Amino acid sequence: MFLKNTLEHLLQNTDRYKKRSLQWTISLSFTAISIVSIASMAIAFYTHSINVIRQNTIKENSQIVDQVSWNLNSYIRNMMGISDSMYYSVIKNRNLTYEKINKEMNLLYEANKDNLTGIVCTTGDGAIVASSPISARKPGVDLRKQEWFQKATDEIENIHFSTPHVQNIFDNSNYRYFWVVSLSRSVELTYFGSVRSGVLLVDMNYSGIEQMFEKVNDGGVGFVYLCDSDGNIIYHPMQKAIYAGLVRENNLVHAAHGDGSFAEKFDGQERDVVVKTVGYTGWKIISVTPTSELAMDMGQMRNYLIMVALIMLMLIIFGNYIISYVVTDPIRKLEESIAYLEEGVLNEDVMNEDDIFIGGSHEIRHLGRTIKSMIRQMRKLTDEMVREQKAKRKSELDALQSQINPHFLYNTLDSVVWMIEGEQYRDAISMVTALAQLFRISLSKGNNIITIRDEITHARNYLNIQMVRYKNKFTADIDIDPEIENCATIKLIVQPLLENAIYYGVEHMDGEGEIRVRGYEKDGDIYIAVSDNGMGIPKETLATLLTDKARSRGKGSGIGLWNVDQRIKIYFKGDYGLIIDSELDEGTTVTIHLPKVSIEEYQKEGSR
Amino acid sequence: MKKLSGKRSLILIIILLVIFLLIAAYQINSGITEKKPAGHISMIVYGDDSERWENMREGAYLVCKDMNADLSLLTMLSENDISEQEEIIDREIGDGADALIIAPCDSKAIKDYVSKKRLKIPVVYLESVDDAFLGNVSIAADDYKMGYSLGEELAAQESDIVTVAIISENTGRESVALREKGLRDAIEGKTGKLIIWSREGSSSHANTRTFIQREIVSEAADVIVTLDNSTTDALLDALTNLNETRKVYSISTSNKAVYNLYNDKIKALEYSDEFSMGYLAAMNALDPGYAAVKYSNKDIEYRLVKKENMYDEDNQTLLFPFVD
Repeated sequence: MFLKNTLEHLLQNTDRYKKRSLQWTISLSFTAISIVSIASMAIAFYTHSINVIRQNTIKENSQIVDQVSWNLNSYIRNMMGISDSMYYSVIKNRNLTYEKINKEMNLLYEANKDNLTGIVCTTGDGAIVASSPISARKPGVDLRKQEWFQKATDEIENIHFSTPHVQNIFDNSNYRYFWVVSLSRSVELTYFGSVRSGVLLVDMNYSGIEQMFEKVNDGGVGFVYLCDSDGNIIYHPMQKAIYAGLVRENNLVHAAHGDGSFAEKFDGQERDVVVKTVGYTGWKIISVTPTSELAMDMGQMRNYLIMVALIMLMLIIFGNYIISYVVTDPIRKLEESIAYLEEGVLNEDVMNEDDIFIGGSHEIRHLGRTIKSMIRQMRKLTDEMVREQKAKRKSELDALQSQINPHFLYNTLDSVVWMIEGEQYRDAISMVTALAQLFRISLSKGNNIITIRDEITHARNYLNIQMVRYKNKFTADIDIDPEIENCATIKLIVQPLLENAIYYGVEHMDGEGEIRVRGYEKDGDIYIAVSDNGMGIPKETLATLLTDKARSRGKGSGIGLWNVDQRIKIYFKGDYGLIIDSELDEGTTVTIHLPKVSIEEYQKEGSR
Repeated sequence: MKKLSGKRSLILIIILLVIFLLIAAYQINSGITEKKPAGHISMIVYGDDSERWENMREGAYLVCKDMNADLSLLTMLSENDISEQEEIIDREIGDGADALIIAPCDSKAIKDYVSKKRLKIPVVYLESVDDAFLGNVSIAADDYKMGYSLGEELAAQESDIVTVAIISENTGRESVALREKGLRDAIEGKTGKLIIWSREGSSSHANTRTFIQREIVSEAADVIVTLDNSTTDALLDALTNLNETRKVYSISTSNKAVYNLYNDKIKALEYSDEFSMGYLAAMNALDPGYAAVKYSNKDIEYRLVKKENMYDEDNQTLLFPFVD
């Protein structure tokens, strides 16, 4: 938990981690968790296994010790049986004054000579009554001084077992010597009907015990040794080295310990010890297992665990990478498609909800579909907003266009009054008629789209009125291709151009001014050019004419070329609008560029 | 994963790593389960009697068994044929011995021969060897003190008029020379006439026995001192052949010497712990660093043993070693 918290803390506070991709984050997190999990599992398993190995070893050693104990017990009981047979069946039943016991003793020895070195019966003063095998007694040997003899005479009730010693009774001319364990007991010898004490000795071949333990110690972990109840070593695999002082053993402590197992530290070495007492003798069978020997098994297991953990880790890292890729790839693709949309800055041309990626798991597909739906909604709303804005703008521009310059109306009516006072009734009628037509076309029953014919009629009426007002200071010529007269146009777009041509072009030319209106078709589009031979427009002014800044400048109706241009662009999609060409002192041509469509076609387009 | 080549490379790397780990696991497993021998030790000794070295071999074998090493004992046809021992040394080096334990038949000659070879393997001498080549070790009891101790016993037990004969054989061995020196220093002025029985030439057991018999017959000596196993055994055989008795003081580890100690044919026997010599020699051969630390204060034990005390608990483990 602590490790996890620390890791999270570290990760949360690492900018680099934050900046990494989702796949990298998932891979790293899962890998880190996997490492911690595998390491924890390996450590737990290793610790558990060590305990199991130790427990099993102790258990096995206990079983071995039990087995050795059983074997040793049998061996000792066999020796005791020999002693009992010799004593109760032979010695006790014989009057040694007249009868010999050598024959029976030899028989017993021959039957058990694999385990025996010899059988000796002595009197209480150390004289040999009988012995087998028959050998020359070593000169000068006083049996009474030997340990086995003293023990037998000191405690006459018991059978005594000595520690290993070199047999020192008989002469072996071939320089051989025998290590034996002596079993001695006090016996009653009958001479002349009276009973005298004596000692019966059965020398067990030490190699019998040695072989028994060597078999156990051959292979396996640790070793088993044997000592008496005082801690004197009877058998130890390193017995010679112990005698030589090269190796030490904790035999005194072990001998004092009761049966069971315990752990100890001896000579800087951790050891597991199992103690078992052998029945009658009180000898102790001791199994010692240095932990360092178990460490070989532990080391093997540790190496295996490390290997398995590493392989698992590699597979998990690979698996993490694949899984994180499978999980995050649809998210990444979704994110990329959204980023692509963002780059398009919600441009109407670019914003296409079909570009949104939909794939991967159910949740991510759902997310993609939701985003797609949102974009569709956004697009719809945006379209509506644009449409509303356009309509609003259209109505604003139309409203502006529909306004009649009060000066123009005043001047026109003043001219009519002046004509009537001068009794020029015909001219006055003509002017009022033109003005009436002008208003009629301006209204056009509320339609903003009219035919070019009507628009030109409106322009002509306007020119007629202005020519009267300006007393023919300029001439006007209108030439419209009949082919285009029935095509659709926005109303009141030529009149503002004429107004500009009069006010800024020919007003002060004293009869030399010329205004030409030409309508024609070119490349499938319609062009209506209004030209004057006025003073022209400076370049810097020309650059601002079609901008918002040009609005309401100077005199005239206050409706600039910008207004006309904007209206055309709003009503007709495409590259339509005004084109202005002007040369100083030569004149100006403002050309209206329109699509060639009939009113019906335009209305159909609009309904779509 | 975006690029197909990157994905393939990753998979390839992981497969290679897994294969590598599996091979490594197999190798580690093989290394653990098949315990390799820690080395092979050649124990090169003089004389043709391998039983004479049994106790020492037992000591070395115990270490080798514990450390999973092989041990081979190589005897000679004679007691002191230097060229033969050199030949055996060369053969063992050629056969790839990982360490040599040498009981030199001639300390100086063999030491010089081995030193010239500047061997990279540990060499342990079972002798007092002065100026052993750097890194080589000498395992031996204090031979001078052994000789001195025996001389003190002789001086203490015998009258100051006895004629003492020292059989000065095999003095090419530094151990024998030191023992003789110690002995002579101990008895100097404390006994009667001192005779040195020595000779040149062949040194087979029969020849030595014959030589000793001749000396016994030709020159009267009350006390005879032997300083090594072969001359002690030859002296005992010579006395038996001649049916003679002499007061014998010996430094020996032979079973015959121990047997005759009890039979009063030897009055005092200086006996060294050859089991420990073998044990320490093998330990130094296989793990010199550990041996240097663990047994730096360990001296090879020797005891002056007489009939009266030879069956004492301490002495019997020395005189009657467990030999499998």
